[in-house]
Amino acid sequence: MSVIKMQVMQQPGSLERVLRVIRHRGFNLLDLTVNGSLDNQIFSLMVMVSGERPLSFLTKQLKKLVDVNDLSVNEQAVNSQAFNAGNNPLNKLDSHYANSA
Amino acid sequence: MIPLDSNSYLTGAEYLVKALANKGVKKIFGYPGGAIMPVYDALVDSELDHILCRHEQAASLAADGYARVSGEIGVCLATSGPGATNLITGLANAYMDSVPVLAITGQVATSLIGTDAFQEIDIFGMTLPVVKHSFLVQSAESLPEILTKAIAIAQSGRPGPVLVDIPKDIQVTEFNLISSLHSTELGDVNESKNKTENDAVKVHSIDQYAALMTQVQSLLELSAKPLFYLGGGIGIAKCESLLRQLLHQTSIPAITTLKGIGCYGEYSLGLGMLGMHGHQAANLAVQNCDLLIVIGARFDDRATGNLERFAPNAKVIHFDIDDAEVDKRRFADVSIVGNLTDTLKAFSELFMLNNVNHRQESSERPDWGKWKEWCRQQKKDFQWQYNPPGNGIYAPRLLKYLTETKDEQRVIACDVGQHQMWVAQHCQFSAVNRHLSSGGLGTMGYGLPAAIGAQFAEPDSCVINVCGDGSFAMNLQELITLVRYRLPVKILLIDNQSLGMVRQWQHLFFKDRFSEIDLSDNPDFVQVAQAFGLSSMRITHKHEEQAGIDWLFSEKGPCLLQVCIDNEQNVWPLVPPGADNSEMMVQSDG
Repeated sequence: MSVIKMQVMQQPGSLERVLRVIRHRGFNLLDLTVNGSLDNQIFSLMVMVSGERPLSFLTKQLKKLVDVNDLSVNEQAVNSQAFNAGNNPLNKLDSHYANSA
Repeated sequence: MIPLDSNSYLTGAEYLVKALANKGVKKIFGYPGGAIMPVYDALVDSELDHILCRHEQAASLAADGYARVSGEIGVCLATSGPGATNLITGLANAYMDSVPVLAITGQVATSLIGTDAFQEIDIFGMTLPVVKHSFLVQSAESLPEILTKAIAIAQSGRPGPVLVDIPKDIQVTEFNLISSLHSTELGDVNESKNKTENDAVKVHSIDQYAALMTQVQSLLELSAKPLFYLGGGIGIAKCESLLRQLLHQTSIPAITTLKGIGCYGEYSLGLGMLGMHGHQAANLAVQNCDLLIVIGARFDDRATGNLERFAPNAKVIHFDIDDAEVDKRRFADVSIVGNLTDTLKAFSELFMLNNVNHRQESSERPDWGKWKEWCRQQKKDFQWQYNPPGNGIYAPRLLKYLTETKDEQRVIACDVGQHQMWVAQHCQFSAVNRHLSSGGLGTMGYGLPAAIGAQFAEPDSCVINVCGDGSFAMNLQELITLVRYRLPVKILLIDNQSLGMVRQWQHLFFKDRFSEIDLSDNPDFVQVAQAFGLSSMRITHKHEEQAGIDWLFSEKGPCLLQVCIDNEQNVWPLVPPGADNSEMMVQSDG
């Protein structure tokens, strides 16, 4: 399991593009958090994924999306129950996301 | 025509056609319909040349062919709903082969989107997997920014198709151009424009870049059997002359992919195409090399055969603009990500410097002489043979004749199937953009529209569509386009009255259980061509081969040469599924 976070331009279809790439490149989406920003131009997106292929196979494709910026990865295994229960370890990655939620 | 520099109001449609012309677009391939009518109205007063194809798929494929030959963006235009869905194959084709295409579609009015209106389809959603990027225009004021971004994205970095979907109400909305342009120019257009390119370049800092080149140097020092593996990226990056200079400097043997054909011209150590129907010398060289220097190629499965046994003894140096291609199918010992023009220049400089050092320090680099001699010998041993028994026409020989006369400008656009592989094997090309072939998607019906696009890009060039009888029927309606615009496209129809490649596979791998490959009830294509207004003739015997080719070249207008061949002619060699590239079937058809 890996966590990928990225800044995504708030455009029609930008979330669809990210999700499509995850599906098409053979990864399972385990969890997803979307936090919009105040100006509604960029949202932060965190996805927890698993897959048999190397994670770079996915992240390199995500980086190519025109709407995706600042992609970073936390490959540490994450407890998905904690993710869902509000004790979201992803938020610890960057307090900005929690504040802007 | 309203000039763009006045403080005037334009409708979205008026702006669109004016802006496209201002951005250097000359030709648009399209088909009108309800939701794109304001744009077609604006075209009446525009300096843009609109080319009416007879099917939107052909319009998008023609835009692809235009872009490949001209090196400029290809533009296609269609209405909403079925017009837009018909574009999709062409967009997928451009996506798979990294061709800069801009598709503009009409959409139902904004208020109707989501109501299942007449000819409403979510083309934005439907095309997400086959575009580099896409836009749903939400206001007329945003058009200048979107159009600038769309064109830039399609052409920058690794090129690809971009879709701009414009609701009908936005096409008729008037907006103040100056205020809109002002915000565009100061906005983030430039940032968007260069995203792909910058991302690629950012992969390496200057220090890393130097370190990478040192690693390249080390691998070269250790290699006794280096081989260049040259792909379509070379043509896209327009760095053929740089590549040829590099080949001249290094004198390293080279093979190409289907899309790399033509990149090295008449290089004596060029061994031809690798892969499923590649040249034996090329496949054997790959399997025997110890260093593969990959330039603008992506280890496509049709090129590699069994990936695990592909080039089993080779280290890999991979040059590409797209970081996502590095390590995707084959691990690269060293990867240099960036525009090939820059990275190959660096490589060339490194090699020159290195070579000088060698002479000075009498380095212990392995001698490449034996390897080069081995490659030359393979090339000689496995020369194509053109004399099978019988009096029928032998398609490979006919195609050899087709390009025996030197013509730097000649373009051949093929369809998909046996004839496509025969063209790749037996025709000679002076540059990558002289050979139009649907490599990634394998789109039957590509050839004729692509030839139309090519002929518009280069009106004075000799453009030939080599097709099979299956592919020809897929966009046959475009014969009308040929005649309408008096395009002197030459169609070489290699007719075996069957879906030859499928037939070949059913013969070899499905125990001769032939299923739906018989096309012997095709119409008389000579008469069909004449009915559309082309001149046409048919050849059936070996002794007519040269005369048929001569006739084709002597015709001034659009023409069709039907070449009847035996349907048991197969494409050889063939790397069967699951085999590695050294396990080629080379059976002769006798």
